[in-house]
Amino acid sequence: MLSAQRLDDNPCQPRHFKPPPCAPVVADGVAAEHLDATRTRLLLAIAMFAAIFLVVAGRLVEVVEIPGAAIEQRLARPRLVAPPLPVRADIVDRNGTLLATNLDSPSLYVNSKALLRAGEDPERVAKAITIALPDLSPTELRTKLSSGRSFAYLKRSLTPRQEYAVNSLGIPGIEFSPEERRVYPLGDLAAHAVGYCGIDNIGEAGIERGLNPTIKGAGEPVALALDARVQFVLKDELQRVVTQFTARGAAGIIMNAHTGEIVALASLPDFDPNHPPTTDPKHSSTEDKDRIFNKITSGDYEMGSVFKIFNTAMALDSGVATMTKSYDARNPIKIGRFTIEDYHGKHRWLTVPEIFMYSSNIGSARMAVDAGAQRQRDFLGRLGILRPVPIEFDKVDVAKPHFPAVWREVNVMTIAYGHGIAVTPLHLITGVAAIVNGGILHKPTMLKVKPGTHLPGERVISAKTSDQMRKLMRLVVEYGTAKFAAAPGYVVGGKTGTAEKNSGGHYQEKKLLSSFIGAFPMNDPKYVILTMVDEPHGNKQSHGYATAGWTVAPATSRIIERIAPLLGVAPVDENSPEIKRALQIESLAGKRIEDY
Amino acid sequence: MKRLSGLFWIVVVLVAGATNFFVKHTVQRLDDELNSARRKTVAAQKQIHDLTAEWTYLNQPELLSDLNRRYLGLAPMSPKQIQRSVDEIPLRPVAPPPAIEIPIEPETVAASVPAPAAPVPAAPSPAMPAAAPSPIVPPVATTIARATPAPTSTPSASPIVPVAATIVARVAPATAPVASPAAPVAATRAAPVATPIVPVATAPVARSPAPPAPVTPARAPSLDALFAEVAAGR
Repeated sequence: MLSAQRLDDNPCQPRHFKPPPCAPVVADGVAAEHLDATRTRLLLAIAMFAAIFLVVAGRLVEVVEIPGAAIEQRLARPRLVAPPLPVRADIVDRNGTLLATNLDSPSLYVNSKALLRAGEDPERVAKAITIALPDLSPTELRTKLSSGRSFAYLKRSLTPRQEYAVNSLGIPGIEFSPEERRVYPLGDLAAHAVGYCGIDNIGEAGIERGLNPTIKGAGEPVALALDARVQFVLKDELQRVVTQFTARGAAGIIMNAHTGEIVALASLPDFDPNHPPTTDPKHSSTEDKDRIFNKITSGDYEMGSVFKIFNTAMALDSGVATMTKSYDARNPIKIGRFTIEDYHGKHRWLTVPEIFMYSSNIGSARMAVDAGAQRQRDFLGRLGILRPVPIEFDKVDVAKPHFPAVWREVNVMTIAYGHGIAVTPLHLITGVAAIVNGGILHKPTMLKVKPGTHLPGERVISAKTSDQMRKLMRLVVEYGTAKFAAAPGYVVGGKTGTAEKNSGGHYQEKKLLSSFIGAFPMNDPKYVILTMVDEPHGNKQSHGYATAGWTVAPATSRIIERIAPLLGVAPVDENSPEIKRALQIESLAGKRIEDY
Repeated sequence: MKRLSGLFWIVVVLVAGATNFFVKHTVQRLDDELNSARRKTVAAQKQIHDLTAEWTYLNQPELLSDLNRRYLGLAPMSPKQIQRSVDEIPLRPVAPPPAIEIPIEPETVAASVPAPAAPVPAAPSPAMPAAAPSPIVPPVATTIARATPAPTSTPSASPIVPVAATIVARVAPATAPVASPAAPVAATRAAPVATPIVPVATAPVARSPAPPAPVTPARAPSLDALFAEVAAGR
């Protein structure tokens, strides 16, 4: 090979060295095989890498380009600030007015060690703080500031304004501990409906207790059916009745006849849920117990003559009685040790409308006996009178009705006019709402029903009976015991009841429970209202009477006049032919109706 | 060729890197912005929440009714005052563009005068002395304040008058500047455009509300009072 090279240059610097041309290596046999195999492997490797990169690229496209893919939820976004969920959700009324809310109310404390270490003068600091919080005593402050301990409360529950004032002083060692408080901005307005909360943020009455889990879990405010304005009117007028008749208490409830929504619920005396009375049975006084007691759901009362609504509806609906049928009400009924008498007896045969209008106990008892125990019991059962009312309150706050286990004839008679059976006012209004609204029973509810929602309900009486009952209730206000309940333009109808309270097994003539249950406008009831007063005393204005017609009926009239515009019920001309026709009782047409 | 492709890839990597950096930077900045906006929102929400509570506290029906008794003496509406329901009131026969009601401020408006029944023709009637527009009002929004009605006018209360023509021009002698001779020009221009802008234009001129009577409520009206009440229960 070397001999073939031309050495015409410096051999040490083979600048012009060129390798001799040689033929390309043609692989033969084994080598060709090896080469092929290598190429295939190379191709495989390339394909593999390409595939991997394709996957990576695809994934990138998926993550970046496709919005809302499952991947997006997995992306960590820890840096975003989110509003903190409240410990308890707000409670608002049907118009969004706050009834209960949580407010930050940090407590102020001093870390005296840090304060002193920072070289602050306790004297000066105390002065600065008393300027921001004038209600603190400077001497007490000074001792706390210079104590050297690392924790001492200076003040609990600061307002945002106070917090700002103290914060802007910028004193080291003066610190806040975050705290939340349940606050009821409207105070005692809806105390019994809303209830209250203990210090540990657990509901202890009313809706706060009944819906405790919901309120704790929900971030959204809980909207009640309550209307704060209507509630105020109800409470205001009931309070007036209590003062006027020096009564022990009063209660009232207003319900939407077609949805069962409770628009107002008041029980007097009441309390301020911002600082409820002690419930400890050992320590709370009778007065405190009275205030915390919700008469509407927890009280069991023998409601008296208002029960004649149920009795008459039962008799009419079952076909036992008709509007023209008469019953003998000439003489009191003696049964066992009882004597059933009329308060203002007419001492003659009375037709069904007359029995209802004059509130005849004798006539009602005879009507009930006519229908029989089984029918009466079934009817009350159908109306839900014989079991606790299903409502969004805790079981503890809802009383069980009391009725005889064995339904004897004497029970049939007394239950006809509302004695010998004790129910809550809520039972009564729920039943009456079903009777006047066309015969459909709705569950009462504290929660707002979305407008326009169709509620199925359960038919308890026929539409015809409901129509007759509306006429009868209108009659009571026009000619009967509840004339003072009339609110011109709103076509009020209803029934009064004055029951003697039963204590220790006998009735007490002087301790009355006067109640009125009504609906308006009676030709097409929108709202049902129940007002009752506990142990009223007659006065000069009422000519010494403490009966429902003189106590709660006038109050109901005032309430309806005040709330109807708020509830969107327009007044009508009560003497217009349509209204007259709608509420005319055929059997009484053209007859002179004897006033009560 | 090889060197070219190498160069190409280097450029690609550089561009990709730079883009990545800037995108990341932008995202971070936007994230920060979003966060600070959120923080502000949360703070504002909290403030609104506190203020709502305070507002509700101040609007306790009991307190309001007490204030009413002492300062206003308003009585609840009686059924006699409500003669008809809203749907019983007949609608106006013609209802072109949305009707505009201008609240009349008795302190500042001396006389409210109906505008002519038909839209003002291009040439203004010489019988109409028009006040110059208020200086605050932009020229487009001019409302002409008329001292006297045009001879052709019908009262605006009549339901037959088309809404567009019933815009009430008013004289506000207390606040509006004195009429200037240049007014007719303004009048011609203003007539066709005045319709929808009227409330905007008149609002700043007509408002000079009398200061409300100072009110001293029975309770200290603030959240502090509410807290004091709450704290008392501890």
